[in-house]
Amino acid sequence: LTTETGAGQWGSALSLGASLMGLEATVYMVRFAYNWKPGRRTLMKLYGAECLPSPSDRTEFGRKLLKKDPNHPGSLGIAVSEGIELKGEWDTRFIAAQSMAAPNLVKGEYKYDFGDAAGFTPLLKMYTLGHDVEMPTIYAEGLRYHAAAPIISLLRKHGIVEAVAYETDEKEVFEAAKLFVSKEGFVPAPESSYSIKAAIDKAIEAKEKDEEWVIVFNVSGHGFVDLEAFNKVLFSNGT
Amino acid sequence: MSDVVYLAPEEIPKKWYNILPDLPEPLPEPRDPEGEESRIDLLPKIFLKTALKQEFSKRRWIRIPDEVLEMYMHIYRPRPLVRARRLEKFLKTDILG
Repeated sequence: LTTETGAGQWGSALSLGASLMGLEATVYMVRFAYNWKPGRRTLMKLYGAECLPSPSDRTEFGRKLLKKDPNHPGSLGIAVSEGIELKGEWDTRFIAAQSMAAPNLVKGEYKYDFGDAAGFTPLLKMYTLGHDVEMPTIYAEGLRYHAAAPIISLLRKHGIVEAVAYETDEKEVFEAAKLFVSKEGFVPAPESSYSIKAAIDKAIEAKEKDEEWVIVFNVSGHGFVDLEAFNKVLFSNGT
Repeated sequence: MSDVVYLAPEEIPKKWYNILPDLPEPLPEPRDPEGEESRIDLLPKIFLKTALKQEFSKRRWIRIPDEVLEMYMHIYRPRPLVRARRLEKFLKTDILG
């Protein structure tokens, strides 16, 4: 199995699946995340997978990008944000929590575009910022992707899914994560922190409107290999 | 009611839900770029046959293979639904009691 991963969660999951099913896995991991998250790489290696930084010198496209910039940070993540649940029988709202680094559902255009930077996939109808757009790096690498999945995009077009995007410096999001850790004791992944931030915002909104909402959010992963991200954003001035 | 909801083994879903038949309109089909090599023909070379079949299936429910189901249980899936009661208290939004 050959796959790609942004921040490393999907790559770790596929490495585990491959290992349990007796398959070999090679994972191309976005270089920016590959460099700052050695723990993720180690986890994939423990599962017996091969993990390479992307762009890599294994592919023509990778070599082309590396020639332009040997320290190319890479891109390509999994676009769809946390916190999206399926439409139920109740009067339910579905909210995708995104980053302003890749606000595909908030600022993208609903049109046909490639699913990958090089244009190897068919054209898919989705909310996209353009498959060759440049996006600033963020620690929630899994959210840094140019487009939203076609199904989510269709639901967004029909107003069934809404979207919010938080600032690229990730401060407000990681502050929400810190609050969640201090109250619930669970350290979330940077990507999961976006859904926590959105849930807290909605809880406060419900209180202000004096309405009763049941808020369900998806904490998609723990953040034990992402502690450096919290350190950099929350405690970088030595406090 | 408990703040943590776990599913017993017999409660774990045996089927995946596929939203495609319930979408408000059919999902637009993938297209090829004009005047270039077909990307759609390339799909079977990039993706596993079974994965593609699932991806384009119009069936609402897709049976989870037994060995995958066993694997879910082996790695403690599905994860529990947990009520963030202490966070609610802090935000003073624990109005449901």
